[in-house]
Amino acid sequence: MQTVIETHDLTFNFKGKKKAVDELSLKVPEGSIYGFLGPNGAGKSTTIRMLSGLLFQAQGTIELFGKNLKKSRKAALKNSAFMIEEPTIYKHLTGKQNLELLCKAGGYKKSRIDEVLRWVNLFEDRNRKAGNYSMGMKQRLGIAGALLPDPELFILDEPTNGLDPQGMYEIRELIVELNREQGKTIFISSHLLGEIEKMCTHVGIIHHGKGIFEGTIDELATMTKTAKIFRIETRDAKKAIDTLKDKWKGKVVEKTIAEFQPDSKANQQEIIQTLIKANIPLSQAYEVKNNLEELFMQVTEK
Amino acid sequence: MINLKSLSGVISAEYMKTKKTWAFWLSVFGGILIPAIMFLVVRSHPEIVSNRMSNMPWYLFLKYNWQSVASFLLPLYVVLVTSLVVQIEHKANAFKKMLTLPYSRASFYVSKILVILYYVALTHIIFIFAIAIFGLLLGALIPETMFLSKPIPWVMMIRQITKSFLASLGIVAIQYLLSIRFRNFIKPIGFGFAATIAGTIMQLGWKYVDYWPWALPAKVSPNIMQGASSEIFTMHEWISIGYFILFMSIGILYFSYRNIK
Repeated sequence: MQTVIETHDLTFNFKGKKKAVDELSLKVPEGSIYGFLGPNGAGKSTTIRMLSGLLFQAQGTIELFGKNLKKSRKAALKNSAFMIEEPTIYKHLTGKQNLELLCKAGGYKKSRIDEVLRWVNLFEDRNRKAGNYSMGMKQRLGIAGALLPDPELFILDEPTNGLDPQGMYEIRELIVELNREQGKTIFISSHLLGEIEKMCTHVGIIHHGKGIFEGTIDELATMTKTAKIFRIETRDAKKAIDTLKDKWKGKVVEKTIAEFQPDSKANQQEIIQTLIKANIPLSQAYEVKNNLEELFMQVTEK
Repeated sequence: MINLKSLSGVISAEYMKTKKTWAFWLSVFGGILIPAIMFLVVRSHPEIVSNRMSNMPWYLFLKYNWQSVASFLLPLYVVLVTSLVVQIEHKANAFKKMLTLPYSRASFYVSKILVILYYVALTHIIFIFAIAIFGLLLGALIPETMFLSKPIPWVMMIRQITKSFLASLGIVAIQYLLSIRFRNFIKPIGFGFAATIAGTIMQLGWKYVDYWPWALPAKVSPNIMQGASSEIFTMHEWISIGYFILFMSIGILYFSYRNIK
């Protein structure tokens, strides 16, 4: 499978602040719906702005369709369409006029206008002023505009933000349809895990500007199950690990703290029992959340 | 840098965006307003065009009209129309979209200012047509003004608006850069307004007034003595063109390398 977006060590810092994006490397395969997940302020929008050429990265490289964005901007952007934050809409014009405008400016075929209007389900409302559209309709008009040039890659920054459940559902349906029926690669950012789970095939997770996970949605599910970390405190952590090494792999965190990754409560109890039997005194035993899990608390709560 | 075929599409798109907006109506009525007022003035005081130099009613009418707009209203119009045209983009959240299209940022910067120049030209053209129509009307209503017996001085009028258009270029480029830079339109308009007033005060005798962009349109007044022999353009048009080139270059560089948040 071909890679459509590839970044290496992408870094950006706003003046005088800490790094908004920190050595981020992404690989987006062709034909995927790639969910770019992270809590608010994690660096999602900054990353998308760098991908679109609105922000210039401090370091690292971006390739779209194998073309370097900095060196050959036109070629890199040729097959890509973006929708960043609110859609671009001239409120004093009708929905259809808004698209005509983009056709003129971009030199696209006018015949596509009705086609994309039907795609996003705005054909009936095409002659209404876009200023009177609902949030969801505006968002769909933005998507229609991005579809005009028939791009291969479609990058959307939080497209369901601020929409009601019905609006969110419609956008989701549209994205899945575009992917399945037209084979478009879609890169979509969100701070809601639920959103991503419902439509994406691949996930990339960003936290404090750093990429902390990238893989398929199934890999993510496996990862979260085994991600529990169990810590014990004892006089000599190394001795405890040695005692358990036949069954569980442990890691010394501090001199008196050892860490294990049992996959169930029963296993946690077994660890404690084994240690007591071996006459190793325990002062504490507890679960700690790892980064990913902590992050999940943030992205799953609404 | 700029593809001519795509440029014509961009311009026609720009025109579609701005027609029937404030920028359009301001240009139309801005061109008519002063000739209409001067029409009323001459109607009640015909002697101001017929008495003193009775064989030159058109020249005097043009001169009065011109003096009424040049030092204050014209620079102010340029300040307003520039901000209005750019504001349409800010309001539609359009810069982000436009700048992710596979064109150079420079070509967007240039295409947008062409629309502003179109409106500035439009208001000038409407201005001389309004003068011609109101002059003819005065001639019909008050025969002794002699408007009907003298030919309409098209050459002089076209030369005048060409000079005035060129003298406005400096303001356009500066206000354009400010309007792009500041999303809040109060900032470029406030600045332009203050700069225009400063310009009218400088006319009273500051020695560098010739280099103040907002004062340049007032410096290119019609001169009947300026026959075919003398040069058509004075230094003021060239100063204005110089400012235009300078600030367009700064603007293109700034726009091309700016991070868009």
